[in-house]
Amino acid sequence: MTDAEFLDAMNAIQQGDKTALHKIYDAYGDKIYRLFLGKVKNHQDAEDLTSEFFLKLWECASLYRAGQGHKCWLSTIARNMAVDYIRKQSHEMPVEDAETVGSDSLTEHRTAEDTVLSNMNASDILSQLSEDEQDIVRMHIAAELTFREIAVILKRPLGTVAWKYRNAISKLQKLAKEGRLT
Amino acid sequence: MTRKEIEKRCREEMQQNIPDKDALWQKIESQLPEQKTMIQPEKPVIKMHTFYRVMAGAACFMFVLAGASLVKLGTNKTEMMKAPASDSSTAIQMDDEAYEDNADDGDDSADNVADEIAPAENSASANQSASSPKSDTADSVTAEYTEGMKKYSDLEFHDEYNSFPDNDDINTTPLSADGQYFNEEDVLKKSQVFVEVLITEHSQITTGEILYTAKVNDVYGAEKIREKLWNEETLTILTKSPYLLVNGHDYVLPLYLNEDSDNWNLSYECAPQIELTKDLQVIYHNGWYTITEGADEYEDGAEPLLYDSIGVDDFFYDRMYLTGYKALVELYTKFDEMQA
Repeated sequence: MTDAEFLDAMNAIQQGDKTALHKIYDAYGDKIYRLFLGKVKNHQDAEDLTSEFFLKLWECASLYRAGQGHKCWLSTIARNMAVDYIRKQSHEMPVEDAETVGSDSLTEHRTAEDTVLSNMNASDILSQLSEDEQDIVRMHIAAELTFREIAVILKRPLGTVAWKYRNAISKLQKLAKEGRLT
Repeated sequence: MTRKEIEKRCREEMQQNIPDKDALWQKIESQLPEQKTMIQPEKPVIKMHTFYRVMAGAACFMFVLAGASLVKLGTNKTEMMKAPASDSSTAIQMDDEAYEDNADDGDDSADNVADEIAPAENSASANQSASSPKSDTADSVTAEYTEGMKKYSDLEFHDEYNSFPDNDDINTTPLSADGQYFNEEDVLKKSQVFVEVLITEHSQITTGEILYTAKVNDVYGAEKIREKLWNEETLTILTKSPYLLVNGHDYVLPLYLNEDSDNWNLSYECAPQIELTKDLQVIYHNGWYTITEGADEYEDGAEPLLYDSIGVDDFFYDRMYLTGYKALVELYTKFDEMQA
């Protein structure tokens, strides 16, 4: 979806056009879901947040300003929602539980040594990386954001983003070379 | 498993986790309110104390004007009352405009951020093509292999400034490599730092030399130098290179500090520098073999690029390639390892 198409859709949403919201959902629903899943690591929560995200978009369409780069705008909203959600969760549960927020259905926190990589799903694979690296890999691969867009969202230099991404992929490649990622 | 395969694996895994998209949409749609309630952006509101202040000002103005009119013009009462009434409304209107201006300023700052996200679309490539001298020889050679090739002039650049150094004004001394052919290892050894810069200005300070001013976007090298360059934010580079750097274009420059002049110099001047397009593709010559390796490993390889020749002694115009940014990170990694 181009910036112009997105702007048209947002204008249509302001007129109450649900098909316009559906168009945006079609284009970005998967990517937004994957971004949420990466942060909260729970399918149900990621679905709820995705649903909440599009309801928010419906209500806040008038706040969008053309020229902001719509993918950055969407990703920033999603990221902030996920951060708020995690903060809220950690306030609601005892400290010892808060440390394992989001680890319920997909993965437990595991070290590289005790994980059998051969049967890993995406979250398992990415759990081998640092939080920063996971964010960048998800944004680049799952949300298909460019390094420049990621740099804007994370407020980091472009080179740092590219560098961290490169290190993350190298780390996974090393695991694969050791026969622990098939 | 190559890095590209790793990416593919991650992508496949992530796609498997997608929920039933239609069901999720139905859930969203069912929660959409029947009547659209829209959150409007906050508009500036005139506060009451400001309103009183404006009204008091208008009243004073009205009083003074009325007095002046009585003394100087001796006009009748009706006329005196008319003038200040319109002025007071103007004062309020002006105050509103001031608020609107403030609101506009807010938008402008947002626009500025947006400009950084999505820089202007204009291309400087036309300038580049127009200004680069081409020899007949180069034309005849390139004509043989240009079929279907991507051209430098087709690419889009940052182009905030869109001004190519005018060859009529710039007098670069023809540089010859003097047997010093480009060798990646030597250039990396000589370099103290790699900088990603946006060229903002250029000026010719002496015959054959150009002083470029650049905005520093990123720095690779020893921590001390990185800090120094970060703090400076802008950088001046002195060079005799006939391969002119274009204002408004992004470059990746290997540099060393000339301690005599305290200027940063290009580590290898007799070749086009690595350049970045607006969509972060990397333009480079095949002497940078690490980038080619990175392109094979990370990207879909590198594709040849039809580059403008700067003359008969140009050994690089038919050795230029285009690839993705990830390939460049491979060069940074190698530089980093050599520095360590």
